[in-house]
Parts: sequence; structure tokens; C-alpha cells
Amino acid sequence: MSGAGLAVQGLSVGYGPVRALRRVSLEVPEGAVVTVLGGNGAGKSTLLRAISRTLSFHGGAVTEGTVALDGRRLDTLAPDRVVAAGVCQVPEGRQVFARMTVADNLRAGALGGGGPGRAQALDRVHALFPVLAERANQRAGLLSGGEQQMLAVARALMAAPRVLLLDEPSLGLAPLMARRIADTVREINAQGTSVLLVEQNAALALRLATHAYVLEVGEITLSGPAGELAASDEVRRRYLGVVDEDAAADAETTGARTLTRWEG
Amino acid sequence: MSTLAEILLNGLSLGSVYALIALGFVVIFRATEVVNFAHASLLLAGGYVTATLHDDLGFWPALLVGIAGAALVGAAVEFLVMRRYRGSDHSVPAIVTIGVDILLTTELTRRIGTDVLALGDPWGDAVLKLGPISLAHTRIAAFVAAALLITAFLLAFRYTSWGVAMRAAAESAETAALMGVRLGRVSLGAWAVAGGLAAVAALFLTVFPTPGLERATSLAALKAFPAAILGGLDSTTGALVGGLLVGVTESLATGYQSDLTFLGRGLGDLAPYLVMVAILLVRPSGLFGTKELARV
Repeated sequence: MSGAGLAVQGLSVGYGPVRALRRVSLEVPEGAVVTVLGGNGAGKSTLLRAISRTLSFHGGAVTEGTVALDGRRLDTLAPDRVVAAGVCQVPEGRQVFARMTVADNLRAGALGGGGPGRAQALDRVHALFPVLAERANQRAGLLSGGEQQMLAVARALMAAPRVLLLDEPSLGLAPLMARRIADTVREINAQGTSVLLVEQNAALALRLATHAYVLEVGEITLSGPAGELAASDEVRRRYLGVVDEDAAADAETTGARTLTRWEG
Repeated sequence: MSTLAEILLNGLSLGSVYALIALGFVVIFRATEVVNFAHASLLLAGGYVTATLHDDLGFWPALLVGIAGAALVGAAVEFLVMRRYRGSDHSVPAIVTIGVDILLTTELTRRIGTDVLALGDPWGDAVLKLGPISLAHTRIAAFVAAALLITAFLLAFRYTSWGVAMRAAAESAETAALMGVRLGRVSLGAWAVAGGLAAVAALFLTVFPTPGLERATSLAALKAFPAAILGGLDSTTGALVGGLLVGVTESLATGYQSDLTFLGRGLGDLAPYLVMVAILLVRPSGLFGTKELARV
């Protein structure tokens, strides 16, 4: 359990009196792509904020549990130390620095990771996203939504993270662009970066991930290998929009909660 | 004509000093979204340090210590006071700066008393004559120093990591934190830089033809406030243009006072605020201030 990778153990988070997460545990093994599925308000973004230590911007706090990378605790560090430790987040809604140029956005991404690797990191993101090299001197606010998402991912990669946290990268993008982002995530992973992907778009996320968790109202209700989850009736019905007559009938007779836990 | 040229040149010089002060406002506002009402007291502190030390150290070392001192006071205010209010609603820290200003100004005016302190500058009351135009050396020095400092600042803002961190934090503190920007450091740096710039401005607000550093100097510093606001509180360009505009306006209103007696006396002090109100009526976020950008 305490092997290489990112480990979240029994994490509870509250915003004042409101409980947002209840004893959530999950693992992102070294080199894996892990996804967390869930609807609006399930606590997905809260989970990522807890890992990247930015809950305080929203008046939230961790009440119990730990977050560790390779056994080293992250949940006592300042946000910049988390980045330095190798965990970097692409925020929901892209959040590129709209008034800064593309090149300056990428420089800002490199601020947390330490200097020496900056040229290398820049070569890497330009290879992944050639369009960012072409538009280096354009203001980020003038890029299209898809290009902004690429920039947001590229900016996070500038810190050369070992674990990349992605908060709904496909949100608001055309299907074609969402697929391109997915391809890029696969490529980033192939280059050795672990990925924790938080998504509402379950079909896309389950194709990318090796392991998946389902988060509902602040609790993990299902988990297992992505393939098994994708095949499970409950996930198909609730997150993939597949209406399976037999499964629906099954669910009615046996109760929707028969598949409460998958262990992979 | 020569009067007009003289007035304009003096106005530009005065304006460049206001621009230095306004730049300090803008730097702090961009880095922390706090309107710093304590800025005038930072300026007074820098001037006071220079004034007390120039006899023993000589002018230039005293000025350097004054700049460092004001930077240190700024950093101390951030570290000891403002840091505790980070994350709270922006109006709270703004009100806290009023409290800080009252404390600092009270202590400094107690020390200064009714004295008028000289800062020991080397320019004295020398005047340069260019044909019909005469300009005080101090005015030329003010313009050159302000231009150099502002250029250096803008280059740093644009090209250094410090500048990138500052601009990133200004756009979104949370996203900057996610990128590993140390917000505490950014805010500390902003207060220190603003203090340093204010100390230089203090020097040029108190040299010839002004008698010297006195209690009222902090009131003169307040004129940079309309400069920052009319330029747009979050724009460095705005601070420069606003500063120059206020300086020239004040200079014109004072210079042609005799033609404007039907408006009463003291129009020079009032003019900057009139310009500010007029501009804000047309452009509510200032000349160069950004309106909220919407995501496309």
C-alpha cells in the first residue's frame, strides 16, 4: 500500500460545517492513469484541491486522513512545496493566465519546478503541442478553448511533475478536441508521468484509465479496473448513458445497490 | 510660449515623481488586490530616514539607506500585518492599511514635529537656462531618475521570473499557487518594491523648490492616488500616464493661476481630482484598467 505513487488514505474534507469528502482512499501507482468519475458536486474538485493544498482558497480544510507521494506526506506542505515534490494540477476550466502571452504562461508553469530543466520541459511541451510554439507571443486569452486546454496542460507539464492531476480536461470541448486531449494524456503517460484524471465524461475517462473510482456525494462507492467498471451495468447506466433493458430489469428486481464494490 | 514650455516641462517632471508613487500603488494592488492607503506613510518613512542620516553618511549613502529602509518598512507591514488578512475579503485588508497608515504617520509626524528637514541633495537651487526657459536642476534629476527607475521596473516586470510570478498572481492567486508560485513572497516583494519607489519619490517631493520634508509631505504624496485610479488601478501603463497627467494638470493650474482667479485660489491642488472624476465618468475602470475578461 505504501509503494511508489500517490496514495490518498481516509481523506475527509469540510467547507465549514459542510462535509465534502468522507474517508476517501485511492491510489495512483507509478506510471498509471487513474480516473475518478462522478457528477456535479460529488467532490471531485475538492479531492484535487486537497491533494494540491489549495482548499484554503475556498474556505475548506482537511479534517482527517493523509496524502502521500512515495510514502512522503504532502498534506502538511504549502502548495508550492507540493508542486516541487512532483504533483501538479491542471485546474478545472483551464484557468490560463489570459492577459499573459503563451510563452509567459509556460514560464509561469516552470516557476514551481526549479530552474535547470526549463529548456527541456519547453521542448517537451512544444513537441506535444506544436501550436503553442506557433502562438508563443499571442495572448492566452485569444486562444480557442481547445488551445487553452492544451496550454493549461502544457503549463502544468513545465514543472516536470511525476503525477499530473487533471480536472475535467474535456469540459466544454468539441468531441474531436476532447479526443485529441485524450490522445495527449496517453502520450504524456507513456513518457512516464502518472495521471489522476477527474471526469464527468466517463466514456472518455474509462478508455484512458487503467483503474477507476466512482465518487458520489463525497464517498467512493465503486472502484476497480477501468475495463470492469466500463462493463458493469451500474456504471453503464449511470455514467455512460447506455440503456440496457435487461440490466434495468435486473436492477429493479435485485436493487440498484447489488454492485456496490469491485475489488481489482 | 516660454512660460507654457516651462510649465509643461515642470509638470512632466512632477508627473514622473507621481508616476513612481502610483506605480507602487499598482504593484501592491496587482500582487495582492489590496488598495494600499498606507503608501504615503511609507514615503514619509523613506524621506525621514534619508533626512536624518545625510549629515553623518553623506547624501548618496543616506538615500540608499532611505530606500532600503522604506522597502524594509513595507516588507515588515506585509509580513507582520497584511499576511494575516490574506484570503479574506479585499475590503478588510484595505481598511487595515488605513490603520497602518495612521500608526506610521502619527509616529513620523511626532518625530518630525514642526521641523522642515532638508534631505541634503546635491542639486540645491541651481537652475539651468536654455534660452528663455529656465529649469531647476532638481526637476531634471527627478525626471531622469524616475524614467530610469520606471524603465528598470517595467523590464523586470516583463522579463524576469519575479515579474512572471507577479503577473500570474495578479491574474489568479489560486492558479498561481497551483503552479508553485509562492504567493507570500510575491506579496512581500511587492510591498518592498513599492516602499523603495516611494522613498525615491520622497526625495524629489522635498527638494527645491519645495522647502523640505515636513508633515504635509504625505499630503503631496496622496496626489499620486488619483493618478493611479485614473490610469486604472491594475495597470502599470495607467500609473505612468496617470502620473504624468496629474503632474501636468497641477502644473498648468498652478502656472496659470493668475488667469483663473475667478475660480478662487489653490486650484493646483484640486485639479488632479477634477481630472480623475472627469475621466472616471467616461471610463469607469480608468484609462488602461482592465475590465473583467470573459472566457470565450
